[in-house]
Amino acid sequence: MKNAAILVVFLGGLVVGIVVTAVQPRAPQAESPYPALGAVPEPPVAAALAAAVETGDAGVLATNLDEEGVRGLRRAIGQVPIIEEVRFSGTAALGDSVLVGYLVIGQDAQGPSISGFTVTVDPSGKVVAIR
Amino acid sequence: MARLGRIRSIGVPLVTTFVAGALIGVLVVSSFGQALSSISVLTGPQESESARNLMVGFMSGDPRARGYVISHSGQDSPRWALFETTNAVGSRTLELKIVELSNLALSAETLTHLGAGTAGPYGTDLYLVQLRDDKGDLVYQPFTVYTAEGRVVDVR
Repeated sequence: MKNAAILVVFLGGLVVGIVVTAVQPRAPQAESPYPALGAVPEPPVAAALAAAVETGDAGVLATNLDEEGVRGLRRAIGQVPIIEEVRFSGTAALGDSVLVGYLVIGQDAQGPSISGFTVTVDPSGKVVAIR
Repeated sequence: MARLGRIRSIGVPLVTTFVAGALIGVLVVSSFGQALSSISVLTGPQESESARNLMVGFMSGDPRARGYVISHSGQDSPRWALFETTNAVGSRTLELKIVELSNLALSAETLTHLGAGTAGPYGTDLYLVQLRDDKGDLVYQPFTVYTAEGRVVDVR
């Protein structure tokens, strides 16, 4: 019982040490002199597309993408042969359109691999570009 | 008095154990910070400093940054397509074209960081840039900046 309590206290200290060190404020990065576009909610069509990339759902991809879109997607994610996760990273409002960023995380022959792609969604909710 | 002594006999070793654990935790993060930085729960997705420097240099017309971005990104807007066609001509032409394109009157409008992620030592930062070309048209271009151990290794 005593040993277990000591172990718990030790592990508690270990976790606190790791967290406090990891989340301590870093030196602030230089402010960009250029303004950033505002963020908007992730369009559902882009979210569905990202989910389809993650699960390899060719039906959804074929429904939402034309030939150029498929080519763009292939270029963007080609370096991650084994996709483990497609993570939403952010949006930018481009007038009435929305540009959405996704990170593709997985493995290649050498180990961990990561790439990214952007989806442009027009005001009608249609995917018009993938890069 | 006896009670106080008992609290001390239990409390002091526990505090010592806790502090020892915390110190080891600090040492672990200091030693393996790079690997731990990929745990986004701990650190959050952070913008790579080198990626930001490159993109700010690109926006401000720094010839090296602009040349690097243009030569690495096989983008399909007219500007980058122009560059792509010269890519196969030869290195000297390539260099001249980089200088030519670097001097284009592209005025920087916005630079938006869309997010970042890491996998092991590799990182990816997504950006959207807006530039106004010499005809006054606003063009936008997304860029993916790849880093390895914090250094930019590619842009697409």
